[in-house]
Amino acid sequence: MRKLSARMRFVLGICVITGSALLGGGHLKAHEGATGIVKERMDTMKSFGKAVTRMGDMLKGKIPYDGQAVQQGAQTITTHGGADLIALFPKGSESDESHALPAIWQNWTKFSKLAGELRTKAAALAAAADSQETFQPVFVDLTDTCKACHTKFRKKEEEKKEEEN
Amino acid sequence: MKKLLFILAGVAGLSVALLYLFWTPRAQMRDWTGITGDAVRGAYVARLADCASCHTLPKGAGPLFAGGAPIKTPFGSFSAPDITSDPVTGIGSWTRDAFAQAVLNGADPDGSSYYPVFPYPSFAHLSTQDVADLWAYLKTVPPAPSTASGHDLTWPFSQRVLMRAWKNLFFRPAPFKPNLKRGAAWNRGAYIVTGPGHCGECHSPRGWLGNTQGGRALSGGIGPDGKKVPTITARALAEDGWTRGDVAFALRLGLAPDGDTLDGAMAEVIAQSTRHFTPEDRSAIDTYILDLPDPAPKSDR
Repeated sequence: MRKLSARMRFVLGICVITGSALLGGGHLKAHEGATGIVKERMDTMKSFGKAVTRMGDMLKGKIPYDGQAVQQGAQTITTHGGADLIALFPKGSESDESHALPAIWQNWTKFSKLAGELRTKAAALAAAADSQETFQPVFVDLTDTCKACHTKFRKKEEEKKEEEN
Repeated sequence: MKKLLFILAGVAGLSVALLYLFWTPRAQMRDWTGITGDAVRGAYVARLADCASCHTLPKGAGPLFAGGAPIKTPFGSFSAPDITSDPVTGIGSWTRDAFAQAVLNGADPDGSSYYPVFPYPSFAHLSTQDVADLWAYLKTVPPAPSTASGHDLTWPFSQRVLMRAWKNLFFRPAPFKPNLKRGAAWNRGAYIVTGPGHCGECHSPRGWLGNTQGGRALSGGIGPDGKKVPTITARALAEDGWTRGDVAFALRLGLAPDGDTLDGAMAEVIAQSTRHFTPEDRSAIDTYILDLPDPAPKSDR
């Protein structure tokens, strides 16, 4: 193959970068742009999401029930929920990339209460991981806290996309 | 002479157009022979149709079905009326036929046409049995004075008579027709999604006159809070990693396959409606939305 000139390679490089930036989904783009504490909390949330996906797949019967994996996942949320999670939302940490709503800092008591509740419920889940029967209701209860907090304090995915377009 | 002919032709053309637009809109009739309503089944139809989300004030702020909070649209805000058995502000003085006309044809007993914010283009697909059951149930709902706040629309949409024209342009009422090439679960799912569940009313894009467009069904729209609602076509969901069982699971617990939560208006729909469906119905919706063959018996939970 003929060797490309330096300029050609440069132009091609730019095209690839622009192309991938344009093709990237809104969610991905937001997460890629994030830095510092915003990125840190997004990564934490993603690790929670991963744990929840796995447990959800067990509940759906897509994968067999695995008490140890449930315990591990629940532990991840216990460790990074509560105080650690609250610490990832310092005042003034809103940014274009972030999905965090200003409501967090306007209703700080409610927000920190939910973060604490997440930790408590995750700990309860770790304790209930022995059997699928005990796991189910506690898992559902935990996800209710995820929903409660996201509904109040997170920008909707579709709104986010709209802002970026 | 020639000029006069032109004017006459113009007047005639305009008259034909106006006659077409404001002629009595299409309506379907149903035959009640052999059909008796069952209030218990009707309560379930009310869940399928999620009547409560629009017709009841949120967070227990008002009695069940006594009228809802404003629904934001590009044409102004609407408030769903009292549908309790209250004889004055509710539908306590209606007959079953009047109720069927309202639900299936968007026609009020006073002869006026409803705004399609009331999803009668979807409800037109309801089975006669479901309409009878729903009516039997609503008659048992305790009467309560209206808690609705009334409509607040921009001109000219505030002129209700225009809804006659809207119907003549866009409304083609017809009962649900099963697809005989697909299985029972797929068809049950199709019935719920396009009929009582009225998913397309928010998940489908609308034209500039608020008409949903068949070919673009479920490709994303605007929710009752005025916010964007995602695409839920089989293709888009498959691209996002949704597989068999994921839709049923999301409708039960509000969780997407990536472990994220479904928020906003959908969280309300799940809490008020889909969470209360039978597992079989959620599974049927799963089959239809993901456009899959019917599941093998007992393989789904």
